[in-house]
Amino acid sequence: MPVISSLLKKMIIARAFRTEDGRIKMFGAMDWTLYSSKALAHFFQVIGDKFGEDFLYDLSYKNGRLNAMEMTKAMKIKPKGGWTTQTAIVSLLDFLGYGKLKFVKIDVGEEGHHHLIVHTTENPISEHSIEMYGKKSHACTYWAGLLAGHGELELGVKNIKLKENTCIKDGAGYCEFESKW
Amino acid sequence: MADIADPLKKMLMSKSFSTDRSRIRMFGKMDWTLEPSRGMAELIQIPGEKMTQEELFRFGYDNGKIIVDEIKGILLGTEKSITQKAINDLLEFIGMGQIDFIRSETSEDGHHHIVAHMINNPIIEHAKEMYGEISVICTFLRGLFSAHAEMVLGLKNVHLNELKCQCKNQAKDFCEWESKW
Repeated sequence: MPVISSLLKKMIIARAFRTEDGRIKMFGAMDWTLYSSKALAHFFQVIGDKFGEDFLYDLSYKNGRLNAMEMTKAMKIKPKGGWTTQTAIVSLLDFLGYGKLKFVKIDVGEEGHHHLIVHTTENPISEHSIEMYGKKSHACTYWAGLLAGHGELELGVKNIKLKENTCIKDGAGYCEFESKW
Repeated sequence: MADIADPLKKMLMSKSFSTDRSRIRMFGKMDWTLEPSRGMAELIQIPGEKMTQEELFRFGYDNGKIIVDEIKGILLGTEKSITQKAINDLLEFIGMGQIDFIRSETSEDGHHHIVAHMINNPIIEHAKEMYGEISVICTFLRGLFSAHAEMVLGLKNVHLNELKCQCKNQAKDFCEWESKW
């Protein structure tokens, strides 16, 4: 497994993102768009309200996998599991404006078996969502699905199903997500 | 009307976006998140296919309202408007393409006839590649930009309708939208 956390951190933070012809590109290949975090909170709330939390989780899980695949392609890395480390993931999410992610527990065994616990803080989408929708916020459902989709590819685990143990909408200092298989 | 195009362009390009506590902020106040453009296309398409055209347009419109209200509140307060050039500079900076106004007849009471080309939008381009003629991305974006046009240009009852769509191969590299009231 290539250890690319240091390289990834340096490149992503300093050079990997460039603007070209009115577009934001990562490694000259992958398009990115800056989107208002508050508007994203509204976006996921409407979907959750209209189609339910299972739909929203599945949508964001699928989206997480799509995004992870695109990133491996842009970085010219073979899309097999476990190509990166928790440090790299944390650095990338920090750079993208997703707040802070902390791996409290990260046990990865054979054949993708795992026990993961992560804490998230300072996620602007979650914060705006809770401000606008309170306890009815669906932001963490979206976030759990997205992290699960990414995690399967990036950490080389299988059958991730992240469940939320604590949430800032209930007054906790962080959101805690756990998956065990 | 305050013309903020030149200072806006300079500030946007160099200083107004900064990172602060793992967040991307505009003028230190408005949160933004970097999203993969291809992923955004999927996030709009999957739920969008389950909505009527009018529901999806309204979804985009409400989302657009949130964005513009935030920008206006931060930049100029609520009594002044922002120029087309300033908005185009912002769109280009955030990787949302550009809007070229082919026709722009407006009056002070909000009546208007506008025809615009949406070009170089990576979300639309990825949607075309992934979904082709069944792409519903433009319905959402027409709603989004209708809200922008109302609030930014001081127009009323903007409802951007599609004249040509690149996803349907009705134009090579632009979508043509029109609103008349």
